[in-house]
Amino acid sequence: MKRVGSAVIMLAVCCSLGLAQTKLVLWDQYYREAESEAMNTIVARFQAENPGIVIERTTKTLDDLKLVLKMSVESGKGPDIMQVNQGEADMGSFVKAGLLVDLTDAAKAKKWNQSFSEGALKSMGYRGKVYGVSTTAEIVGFYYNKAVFEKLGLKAPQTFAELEALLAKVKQAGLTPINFGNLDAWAGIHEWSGLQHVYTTRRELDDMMSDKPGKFWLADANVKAAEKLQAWVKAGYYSKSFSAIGYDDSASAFMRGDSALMFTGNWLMGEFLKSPDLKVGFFPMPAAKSELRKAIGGPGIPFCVSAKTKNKDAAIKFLDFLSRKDNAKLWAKLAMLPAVAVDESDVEGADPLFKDILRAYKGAVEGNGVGYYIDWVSPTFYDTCSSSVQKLMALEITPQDFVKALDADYQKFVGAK
Amino acid sequence: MKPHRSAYDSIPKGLAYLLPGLAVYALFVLVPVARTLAFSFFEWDGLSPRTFVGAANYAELLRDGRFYGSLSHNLALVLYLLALPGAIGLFLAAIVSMKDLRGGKFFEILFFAPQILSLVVVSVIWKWIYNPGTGLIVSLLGSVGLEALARPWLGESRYALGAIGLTGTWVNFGFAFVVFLSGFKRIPDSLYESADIDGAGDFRKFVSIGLPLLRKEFGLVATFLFISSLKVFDLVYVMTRGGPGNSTEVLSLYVFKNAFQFNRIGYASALAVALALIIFALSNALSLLARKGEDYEIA
Repeated sequence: MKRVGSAVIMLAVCCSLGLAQTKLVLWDQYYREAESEAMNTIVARFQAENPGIVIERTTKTLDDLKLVLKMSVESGKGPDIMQVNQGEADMGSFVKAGLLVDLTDAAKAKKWNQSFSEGALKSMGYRGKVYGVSTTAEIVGFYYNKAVFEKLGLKAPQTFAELEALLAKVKQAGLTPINFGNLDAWAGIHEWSGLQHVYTTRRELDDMMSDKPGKFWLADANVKAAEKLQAWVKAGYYSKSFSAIGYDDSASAFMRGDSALMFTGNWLMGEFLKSPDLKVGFFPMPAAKSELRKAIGGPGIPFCVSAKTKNKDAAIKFLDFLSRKDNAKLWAKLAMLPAVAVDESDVEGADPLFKDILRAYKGAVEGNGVGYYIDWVSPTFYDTCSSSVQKLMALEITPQDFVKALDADYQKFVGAK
Repeated sequence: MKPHRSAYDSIPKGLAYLLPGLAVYALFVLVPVARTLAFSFFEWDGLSPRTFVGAANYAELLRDGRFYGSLSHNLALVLYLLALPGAIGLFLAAIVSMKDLRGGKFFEILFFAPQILSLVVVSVIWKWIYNPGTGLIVSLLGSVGLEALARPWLGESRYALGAIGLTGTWVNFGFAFVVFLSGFKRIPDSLYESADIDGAGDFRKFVSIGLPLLRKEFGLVATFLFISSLKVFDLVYVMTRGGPGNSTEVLSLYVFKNAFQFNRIGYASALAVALALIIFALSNALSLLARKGEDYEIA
């Protein structure tokens, strides 16, 4: 926990001048030094622009934040602005307890849809309503080994057909097309959901994640995605014995260089940039048609406004400030993917891999292709989906059974609430 | 001379001495147990207000296929965590003690070592050993040209439970060995000497003298390892998280998932209570069995 010096000084200066003060208490989890500096800069910029408002910032680790947030907000002694993780378990329980300000109207008034795509706005909220603004984002796509691509004369595919041709070519050359390890079970969700994102239409996918009653998960597109996943397993496109390799081990296997692709999130970029001999690029999962292009991912943990705040308007003003592009660039400078899409040219001296990721995310935002982490849909979905993908990829269940298992989980949750 | 009086002679004083210990025990054992029992009658996500649902959680439990699946995995693990280590421990203890091997102490320390290690450490080590690409087993098989026998042990539902189980065997047999060895040491040499005079061989001595006199040790090993097979968590959590599918899910892991992933504290509590009752009933039955029959008293 750290009091932020500049805020305190501002407070002192303003008080001595006898100005009317609005104090906002902010809790966030940017506790790492560089991140904390960026956040301090944003706070200082905000205060310079809004002389009447003082922000008192406290950093907490994500675990601390989860632990104390609920109780302190409930008691009314909590922060005015805080980061609340998306999904049923966290944001869901806050919303149900009436502890967060609904920002849907504010989003319209402040035109946040110009900074974020429709999908991203929804991902910063709960059940179709906007509850926050995120500073950073995640995207899941294919990392590719440039040395392997060069040796086999390959380039990043634009369409799904090109991707499949590429996979076949790598297999023929005796290398592993997709490096993968699923012992930890969660990575498998991405392998299937990545296909699901480019097989379903925007509408279908939104419905599946909507929490509305309906048999959305039984969609034909879901079955097709599961069939494709099994076809790729049968064709030997994934690492040998993937079911018994952990995620971290699979990442180091990719760095050893005997595989062409790895499908995972931008969070691994730092690891890859650490090894000097490895040249890696990134492209999103291609789709059969451009309107189907969607990528797993979305905004990171959003900043939300406590329903107990006495300074709602000032708090919303700060959230709006967070969504500004000049502030987004601060994150990009730290090689963190900003939630507000920035151009690769906005980031001086960025590594080519980071540029690839910025481009992929920008493409997703502009094409309304920011998708979801599907395990947010119910508290049990992570468990249901990860174990079902394991069975699907072991060819123990059919694509139809797989989709039925997901549907059953959804129905149970929608029916129970 | 005044007779020596101990603090224990005064009952109020004695109780006062017990209080601090009792308070700690109550705080960390009795209160959580009571609260778990209470929670098991509620529907509760850990944050919103609790709703009293009576015995609904227990009724659901009786219909829950995953509960029975988990329980059956626990029972299968009894083979690996109790039967196998017990047999291996007994066999090794018999050899060391009856052959009067030198270096018995050395083996005691060696075999007992896995018991000292944290189960998390053990699980991580065995995850490496089972790794299908770089693991010890694959390398060994490869070095004798048997790569074809290699399997992704932890990744196939056919093998995963057995692979976890064998890790447990490795951890537990040292415990059985040490207990049985101390049991053998209790048996007076005179019994073996008289058996020698009667012309009994090693096997005969083992069956007619060793086994019956180890009844108490059998009881101890059986109870202790049986409880360990029913409450096993670390091995499964670290090695497979219950996968692939749910093929290695055990009861304690299912409790954990309900409480901390599914936000179903009430149902998790009901499962925990059921698990405690099962352990209590079966381990008591075991120790009754061990105590039954005539007790050989060694003069």
